[in-house]
Formats: sequence, structure tokens, C-alpha cells
Amino acid sequence: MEAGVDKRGLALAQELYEQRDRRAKDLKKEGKKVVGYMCSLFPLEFLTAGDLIPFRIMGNIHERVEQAEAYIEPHLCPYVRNCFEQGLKGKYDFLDGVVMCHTCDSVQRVYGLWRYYLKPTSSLVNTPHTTGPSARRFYKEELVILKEWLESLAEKAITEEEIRRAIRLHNENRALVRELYDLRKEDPPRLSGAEMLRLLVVGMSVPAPEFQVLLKQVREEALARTGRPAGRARLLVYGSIIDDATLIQLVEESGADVVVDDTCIGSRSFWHDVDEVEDPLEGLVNPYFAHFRCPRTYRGSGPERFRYLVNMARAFRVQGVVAYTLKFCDPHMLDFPSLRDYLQQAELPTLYLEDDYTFGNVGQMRTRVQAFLELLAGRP
Amino acid sequence: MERSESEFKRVVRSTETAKSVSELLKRWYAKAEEAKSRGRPVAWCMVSTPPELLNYFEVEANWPENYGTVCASRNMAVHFMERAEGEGFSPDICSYLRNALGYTLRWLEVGDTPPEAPLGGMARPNFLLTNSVVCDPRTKAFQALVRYFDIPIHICDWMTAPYGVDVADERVKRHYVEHNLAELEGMVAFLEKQTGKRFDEAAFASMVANSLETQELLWDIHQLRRAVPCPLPSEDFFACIVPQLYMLGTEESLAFFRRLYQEVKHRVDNGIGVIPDERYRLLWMGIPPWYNLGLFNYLESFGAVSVKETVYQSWPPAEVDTSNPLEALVLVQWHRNKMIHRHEAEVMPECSYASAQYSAGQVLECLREYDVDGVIMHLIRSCRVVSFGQAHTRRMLKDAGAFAVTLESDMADPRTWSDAHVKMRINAFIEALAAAKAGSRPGA
Repeated sequence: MEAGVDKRGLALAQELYEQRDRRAKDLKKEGKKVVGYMCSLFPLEFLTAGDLIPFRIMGNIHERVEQAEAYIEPHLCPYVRNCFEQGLKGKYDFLDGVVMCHTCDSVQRVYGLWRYYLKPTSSLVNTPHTTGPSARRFYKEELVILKEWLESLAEKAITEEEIRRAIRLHNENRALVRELYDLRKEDPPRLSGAEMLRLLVVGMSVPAPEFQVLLKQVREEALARTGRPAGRARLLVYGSIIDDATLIQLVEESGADVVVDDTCIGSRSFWHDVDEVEDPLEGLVNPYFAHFRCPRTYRGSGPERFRYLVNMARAFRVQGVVAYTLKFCDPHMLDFPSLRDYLQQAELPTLYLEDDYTFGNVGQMRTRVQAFLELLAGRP
Repeated sequence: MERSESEFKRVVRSTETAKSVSELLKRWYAKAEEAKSRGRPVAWCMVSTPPELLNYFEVEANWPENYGTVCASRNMAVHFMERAEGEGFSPDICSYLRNALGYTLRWLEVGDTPPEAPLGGMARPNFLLTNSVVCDPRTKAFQALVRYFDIPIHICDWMTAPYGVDVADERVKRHYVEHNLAELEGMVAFLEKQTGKRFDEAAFASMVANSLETQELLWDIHQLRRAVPCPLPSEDFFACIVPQLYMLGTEESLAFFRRLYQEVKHRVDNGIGVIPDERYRLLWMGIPPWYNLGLFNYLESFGAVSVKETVYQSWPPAEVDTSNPLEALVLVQWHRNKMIHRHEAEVMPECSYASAQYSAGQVLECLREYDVDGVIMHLIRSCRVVSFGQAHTRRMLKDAGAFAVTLESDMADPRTWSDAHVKMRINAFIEALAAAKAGSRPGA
């Protein structure tokens, strides 16, 4: 990776996290085309195969929505509003194309506004909400349509062999990420939650081969680490999208370790490999749609749909859960009572935080986190 | 139980057909309890579940969305919503669904229909039918309901072609129609299993034919509403959505709209309006505040009539072959999907075969076609999908020199309502319209 010649590993990740668009813009100057995407449901392998540079569209928690007030109503997803704000400010003008997914009502609808006001070269992957046979067939055809659109953007064909190569590369990256997560099962975890999140944010902002180099450097550093404090409370962070390390840092500065997460820019994007089957598009269906654990997808009605979360908590020896949800997020809001009761039955104390994305009430959050940790400390 | 203090609580409707809906509603709600008592299945359904199929399989249905309007208009919605909120459901969730979830929790507490439930309540369902058209809460809330009732659920995952897709492309049409037909067939299979009744397409065809004829009548009625003075105001139309959304395919629904058509036609032919002196014609954007529909009468006190709305709308009829009736329903939806694409993208509007929500481009068309002087936008706190696009539409209206005002409240949660806020906004809006008519003030 070119950026920060002296820097590698976590130091490089920190630098690229703070200048997230630097690599994409450098590569654009070299003649590459950059494609923005908003959701983890988007199959990145297509971009790698087409030699297109992926760049995840994110918000900025340090910037309140001002311009976007005139475009998007106040009681819509604050994350989507903030992303659109960044768009209005020109932060994404350098993109050659934008792809969104039918993630949820807000993303689906902001797609129309994005097309209208910001970037005409765009496409929507119309992801179904159920995972039955017809929905799977429909989604796969959506991938065919997406591939064709990307080919016209890239001005070249994207062959099956190129997709297979990309799948292997991305699966290698997923395996490396899972390896790093495994290092957090130790006490003390070899990587903090904040470090992990920053690394993954970078991973969604640079080409896959560069991400792999970074992952291996970070693995090397993590394995060599010593002297970190052990015995801190171990937490799982669950919830809506978290694209900034502020919350995780706040939790960890309060005296706990975030050892695992169930979030979009987190384990959800790396837990399931693409099956390397004969038809590469078929292999993409499970990790990017049918098995992707976001509450926007209907995956059965019973409370057992949360079992995976408890299993994850047990595997990482988690003592408590921080459930972070964005205000006005319907899928999470409607899951809340069932999730709360399931975690209660599993005897996993849970702190529920609802936020407008900008952590405007950081002081209050810190107080609640500290109180939660005291509660955990008092448990046998 | 605290009743609403709003002066807009009571609505006076104009047409006899719309006035007849209150009796229809009582009969309709009684049917589900009666069916239950006779051992016939009852389903809770979300809009876009084809009433034609329910009718065919002899399934009585209760519709939480409609029950939300019923509870709202009878001052019971807050009671049920507070119960849901006490359980942990956010007050930002769709008020219809909060009402249904709270009602469910009360049902479980009582072990039967809560005594305070209006119109005899909703019967305990045998199964749930919903779909992914329109919004996420429709599947998520029903997913939550299964926990409380522990009954089968079916979700019809209909897809709508987004903007940017070439709907004239046969491949695209095949992509959507094949999927949506498969989803509809899945619902049929589910209903066969739940009812033990075999599906016969030939027998079903007559119900679809009724449905299509009803939808044609609806389209014709909407064309008649272009007349000056307005023959059918919004407060009347909103009553008529009951036979439109929930009874399509039945003889009763067809008869209802034949009657409504005749009444509206008579008014147009004889120049009969809603009020003697119609000074301003308005377009209503969004779902109305069901607990305070008297707002429309308040507008009429200024000579302002709401002549059209942007929700529950119709499209030009589709020519479809009903000999394959399931496919016919899907093709009607596809036809509507294509109609929506005439207007460029700002939001993905609702697209079921039974009703439609207008985009900004269509709002501008309405201004011309219905000779509209101004638009009232109801910014609904708990309904994101209907509210999304209002800011954009407001911008387009401004560019077109059209007048608009935004009222902020909710469709079924009266705690969001303020008479003072509404009156202030409406009064100022009317003043602006009056000044514009007098030629002294440009559009807002």
C-alpha cells in the first residue's frame, strides 16, 4: 500500500481511517473508476473483478445534518440523512458510480433522491426481504443485472473467472478478519474493539488486495502484542450501523473490552464466506443476502432467530451486550422487545442505547456505560 | 379514557355513499367475530394482501391498518399504543402497528376481545398474512405478533421495479412478473393449507373480474373529481378506502363503487359541490389524521375543498386477461409499476395492484388536472414511507410557483396533534391563497 510509507499495520489503519477517501482518490487520479456503495448487502467481489475501486458511502458523526434538512424529513433514518448531507457537501462527487441496495425503507428511498440531486450514474440492487426459493432466484437475477451495469461502467466485461478470483481474494480477507476476531477471544483481547472497527472501516474504503496486505500486517502486530491489561469486562456490541469508533472507544475507555460485535461494519460482513461453487453468482447469494444477519431480512418469527447472537456471546465469553440502535430504525425497533427478552433469558445483561447517529449526548452515554459496567462488576 | 379535546374531532361527510361507510364498517367488523364463533378461519392481514383471495378461501380478515384508523377515530388508539410502548415498542413505530401490538397485548391479558375495543375489536387470528410492499414495519410487526399468538404467518415478498430500471424491457418485466407470480402462488399454497380448500383458478376468475371492474370504477370516479365544483372531497374518499383496500373482488365492494360513481356523476352533471362557494381547491398529501378528520370541514369553512389526495390512488385500468386470474393481479401491479416510471425518481412510491401513492411528479400533474390552488402536506411522524419525499415535493412545488403548507402530526396518534399549530398553519395558508387569487402575492 502506497500511503504512509513508514506506516504499516495499525498505525497505517489509523491514518487511512482518518483520511478515508485518500486511497480511492489517489487511485482515481491513476485512471481507476471508483464505485460508492452504501450497504454490506452489496457484493464487493464484482468491483474487484471489474477492477473498480470500492468505496463505502458513510456519514460523519461530527457533522450535523443541515443542508439535508431541506431534502429529507426529520424522522427518517439519521444515518441516511447524514450520508445524504455528505453527498450534498460534495464529499462523494469523485465517485464514478453509486450502487445502493434495497436495504430498508430509508436507503431505498434516498436512492431516488441521490439519483435526482447528486449522481445520475447509479443503480439499486433490489434485495428481497424473505429468503425463499423465489426470492433467491430474484436476487440472483438482480446480481446478473448488477454485473451488466458494472460492466457498462467499467467499459469491460466481467468474466466468471475474474469473479471467481475475486471471491477467493475476498474469502481470504474474510478468513483473516475472522482470525483477528479469534485473537479477541483471548484475555486480554489482542485487538481492541476500536482498533477492529477502524481497520474494517478502512477495509471498506480501499481495494481488496490492499486490505489483505493491511490485515496481515495487523495480524503480525497483534500476535506480537504483550502487556495489555487483562480481566476487564468483556462486551458484545450489537445493532445498527456503526461507522465511527467513538462509541466503542467510549466503552473501552470506561474500562471494558469490546471483544466482538454484530454490526454491519463488523462481523456481519465477514462471518460467512462466499461458496466457491461452479456458478459464482450462486455463491454470492448466501453471504450477501440469505445469510446476512440484518433484521431487515425476515428469517423466521421465533425468538430463536437471535440464538446466533447468544452463541457468539458465549464463544467470546461475553459478560454483557451493548445494543446500539439508531433512532427511527424500524427493523431494530420492532425487534427490540423480543431481543431484550431473549437476551434476558440467556442471562446476558444488556445496555440499550438509542442515538441520532451523531452521539450528541456523549456525556449521558458515558454515564450509562459506566453504570452498566458497575452492574456487571457486581454480578457473580 | 380521556377523549380528544380537538375541535376537529368530528367530520361531516358530503356524499350519501361515504356516509354509509360507518354502517358498513360495523357489519364488516362483526363478520370476523361471527366467523370465529362458527369455526371459520380469521386472518390478520396487511394491505396488499389480495382480498379477492381471502374471499375465495372464505377467510374473514381483520386489518390492523384499518383498525388503527378505527381506534384513532374513536379515541382508543392511545390506550393500545401506550400498552405497546410499555412493552418496549418505540413510540416512533408506525402508529397503526403500535395500536395492533398494544391491542394484542390487551387481548392476551383479557384472554378475549378487550371490552374497551371499538367495533367489537379484532378476532383472535388463526394466521397472519402480510407482504413486503410499501414498508419494513409490515413484515417486522407481524414477525413480532407471531411471538404473542404463536400462529402461522405468510409473507408475500412482492417486488417493485425501482427507478433507473427500463420497465419497457421485456426481460425486466419477466423478472418482476415471474417473481411476483411465484410469491402470489406461494400465498395461495399457504391458504390452501390453512383452509383445506383447493384453489380453482376458474372459480377465482370471477372475483378478479369484479376487482378489475371495481378498480375501473375507481379510476372513473377520480376523473369525475376534476369537475368544478368538487363532487367528492377527501374526507369522503378516505371513508371509501374500506371497500377499496379491504373488500376488492366482492359483490359488495363492486356495488358500493357503482353507487358512488352514480352519486358523483349526478353531482357533476348537476353542478353540485361540497360547499356552496368553492373558492380554493386543495390537494391533500399523505395519510390523514384519522382522529381529527373534521379538519377538512374546517378548511371548508374558508371555502377550501380538498379535491384529491396522493394516497390510495388509482391508475388507468390495465387490459389483462382474467382467464389466468393470478397472473392478472400481478400484471395489474406491473402496469402500475410502469405508470409510476413515467415520473422521474425521487422516492420509490408504493406499488401494489390495489392502490398507489403519488410521487412529486404526479403531484405536479394533479395541480394541473384538478385545477388545484394549493397542497396540504401531512408530515406523519410515525410513517416514514409516506412522509419521505415531502421535502422534495415541496421544493418542486416551490419551483413551480405552487402553494404548500405542512401540518405535522400523525395518522393515528393524537398525542402529536395541536389544534393551535394546525389552525395557525391553515389560517396563514388560506390567507396566502386569498392574496394570490387577488393577484397580490406570488406562490410560496
